[in-house]
Amino acid sequence: MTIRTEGGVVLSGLDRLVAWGRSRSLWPLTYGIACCAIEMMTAGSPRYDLDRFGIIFRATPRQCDVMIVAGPVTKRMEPVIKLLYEQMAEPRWVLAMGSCAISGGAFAGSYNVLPGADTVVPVDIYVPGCPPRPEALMAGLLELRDGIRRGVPPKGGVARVRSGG
Amino acid sequence: MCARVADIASRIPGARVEATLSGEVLVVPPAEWRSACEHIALTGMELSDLTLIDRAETLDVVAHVFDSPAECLQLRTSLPPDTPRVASVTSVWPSADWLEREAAEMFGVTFLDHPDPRRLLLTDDFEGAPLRKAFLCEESSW
Repeated sequence: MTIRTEGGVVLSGLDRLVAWGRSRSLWPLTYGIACCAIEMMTAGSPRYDLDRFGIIFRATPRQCDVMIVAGPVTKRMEPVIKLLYEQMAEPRWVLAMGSCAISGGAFAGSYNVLPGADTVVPVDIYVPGCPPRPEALMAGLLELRDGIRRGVPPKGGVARVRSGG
Repeated sequence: MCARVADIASRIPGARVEATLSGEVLVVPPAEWRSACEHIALTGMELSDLTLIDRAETLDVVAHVFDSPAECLQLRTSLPPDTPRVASVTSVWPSADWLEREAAEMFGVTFLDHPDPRRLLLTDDFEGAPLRKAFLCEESSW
C-alpha cells in the first residue's frame, strides 16, 4: 500500500513506518540566538510542553533532526550556523523562528545581520512573530511533523537515495 | 560621594567635576585617562560600562563606575575624532577587556596596550566604524 504526497513522493510500507517514527521523535538543536530563544524555551517548559510530541532539545547537532534558528543571524555567526547544519545527520530540517531568522526582522538592512537564515541554510518552515508565541512555534513544529510523516523531503535535499522497503 | 570625587579630581592634573542631572561626571584630559582610572579603582570602585559617544567635534570615552547602586560616577574624556587613541584600562579593571574591544571596532578607536585587540562582534573583514555618525547603513544586496 502506498501514499502519494503533494510533493509527488511515493512512500512504501516501511518508509511510511520510518517517516511516522521520525515525525514522532523530532529532536531539535537548541540554536537560540536572541529573544526568540526565550519563547523556544517556554515552549519546552511544562505549561506548553513540547516533550509530549516527542520533541526533545539536544545540544549537539549530531543527534538532531531539526535546527530551530531562533533569532537574528549575524555575519560573524554565518560560518558557525553553516558548520552546525552540515554536522547534522540527514535527513535534517531547518525551522526559521521569528522575524529575524526569516528576513532579518528589526535588523534588516543593518550592518551586521543577514537578511534571513535562508541566505545560509535551506529553511523548511517559517514561523513568523516577534517573538512567536510558544503556541505559534508549536504550530510550526506540528506542521513540520505532518510534512515529515507524509514524506515531504527536506529543502536541503538528501544526499543518499533511500531504497523502498 | 562629592567629597570623594573632589578629592580624586584634585590629584589629577586637568580634571574637573561636572554636576549633571544623572549625577557627577569626572572629566579628565585623555593623557590622564589611565591614571584617573587607577585612582578611582584604588578607592574601591568597579567598572560597570565603558563606551564612546560620537559628538561631532569630539569622540567622548565614557566609563561608568560604581561602588554600590547608590554610589555611581561617570568618567569622561574627549578624543579628537580623526585620530582617536586612548590608553586601555584593562590592567585596571579586567572587565574593560571586551568593553574596549567592542568600542574599538564600533568607533574605530585604538586602545593602547590592550592585551587582546581582536574584533569582537564584527567580522574580521568588516570595514568602517558602524556606530560613528558618519557611517551610513547601505541596504544589503544579497
